[in-house]
Amino acid sequence: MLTSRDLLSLAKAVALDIKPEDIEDVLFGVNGLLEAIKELPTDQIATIEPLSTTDGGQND
Amino acid sequence: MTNPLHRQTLTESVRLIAQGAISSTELIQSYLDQISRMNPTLNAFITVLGEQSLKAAKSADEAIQQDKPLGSLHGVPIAIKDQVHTAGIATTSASKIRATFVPEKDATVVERLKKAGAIIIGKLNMTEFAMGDPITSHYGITHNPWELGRDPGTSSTGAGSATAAFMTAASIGEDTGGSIRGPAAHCGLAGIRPSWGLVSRFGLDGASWSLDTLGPLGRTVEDVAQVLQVIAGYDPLDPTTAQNTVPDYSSAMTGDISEMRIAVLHEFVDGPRAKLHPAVRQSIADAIGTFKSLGAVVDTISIPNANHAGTASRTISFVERVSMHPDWIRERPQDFHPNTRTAFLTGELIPAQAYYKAQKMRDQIRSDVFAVLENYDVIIMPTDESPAGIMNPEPGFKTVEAAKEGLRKSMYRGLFSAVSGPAISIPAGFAQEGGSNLPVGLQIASMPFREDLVFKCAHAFEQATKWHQQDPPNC
Repeated sequence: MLTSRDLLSLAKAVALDIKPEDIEDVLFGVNGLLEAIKELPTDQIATIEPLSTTDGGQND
Repeated sequence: MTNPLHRQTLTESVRLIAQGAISSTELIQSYLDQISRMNPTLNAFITVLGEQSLKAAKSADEAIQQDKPLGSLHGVPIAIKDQVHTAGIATTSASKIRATFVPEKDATVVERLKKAGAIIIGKLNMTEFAMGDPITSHYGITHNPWELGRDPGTSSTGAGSATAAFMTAASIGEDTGGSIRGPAAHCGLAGIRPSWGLVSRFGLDGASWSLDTLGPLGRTVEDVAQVLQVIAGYDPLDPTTAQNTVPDYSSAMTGDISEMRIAVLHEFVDGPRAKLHPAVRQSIADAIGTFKSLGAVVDTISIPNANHAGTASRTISFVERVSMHPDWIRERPQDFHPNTRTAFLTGELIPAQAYYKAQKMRDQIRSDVFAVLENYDVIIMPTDESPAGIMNPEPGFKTVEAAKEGLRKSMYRGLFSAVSGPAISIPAGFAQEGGSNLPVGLQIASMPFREDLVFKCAHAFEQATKWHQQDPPNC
């Protein structure tokens, strides 16, 4: 889990200024997303090959 | 008492205009009167094109008198989400930042609608930059005509509200993670997210390049199909459009689905992550019964990775959205709604590896769904797990768990955003909530570019159930 301090360091690295009133919401958003990403089935996504974005239907 | 003209379906209006039974001018005036009556309450429009639409209607009527060839949408009003370019008309993305942006050219969809004879009656409110929070528009909150304090569905809030309240015959929305299907479900409409690559995005102020689609919302499946028929197809101005032949959707809507094979997605109905409102659960059970009574084969299937569709689609859209508006979050952060600003900041800080994993998850999900659709024509699932919720003036994320809950709830519509196949939401019942009757939506989805199958199934269901004939109160 990132701390507020981690978040501000990350933001500094990409030249982002996060106002104090926004820190909590952004921190919850980023941490929630990173936790959800950790729950993805890594064994499956390690081997999947890219699929064409527009294929899969009736191309002519 | 005669039905007011604005309460006709789009298809009915097109037919009556072509027959000379009504004039386009009468029809447009009827819709403008309805806008005057309802929009002060619902705030669905950012711009109403009263004078321009009446002028266009007069030209449409002259074309009839002169026996000129007519387009398939001749003389009927269509309203456009305000992130789609309209030449000479402000296109704000419901933001302060884009308040003065006036495009020089029409988006391809607008150009095609006009060429088919449609009359652009106005530009529709939405959430700021198409984010998924109903309270962020710089032009004020749009209300749900079924109950004013309820979310009309995001992000095409105005499209849902205006079409349901008879202020336009149909509308054009944009769907990244469910922004057409959500408003359709919450407002009791039909709305289709087309296959990615079917409809040109030239002239769209996009939210996510690999997920965005433009599509119609209407009061019937037939209306939606008729509008999609006009806007679909290859566009040299948008290299992401496919060069497929667009089939005649109307010929698919026979009412006969006795040969169809329909899969019900277990994970979104009875899976451990599905938390369906009782009325939504009942609507799915009823829909299965309806499809079986129409002769279709209906089986329950499982796609375990569908549980991750919200995480995959939201991670991708968060990152891509920010990359499409690269400087404003640094140069004008104070000009965003606070909830949009924190969403953009979140998108800026998602690591590249997280985005990459989400893209790979998306491919795995697509592969899993395609495997099911080798044996079935369509997959059905709820559009949302509950009817329209009460709008919270200060939502935000107050805990990590709340943020994760938002990702979970995104799975219902995120699945076919990730798959890139067509998904329609149609009315499938009602929930009684606090004295209100609130519509719930059924989603029907299929392989990329098989909109014909989706329309065939949706139309048969609509004709068998008639949920679409119920109207919001006081409209």
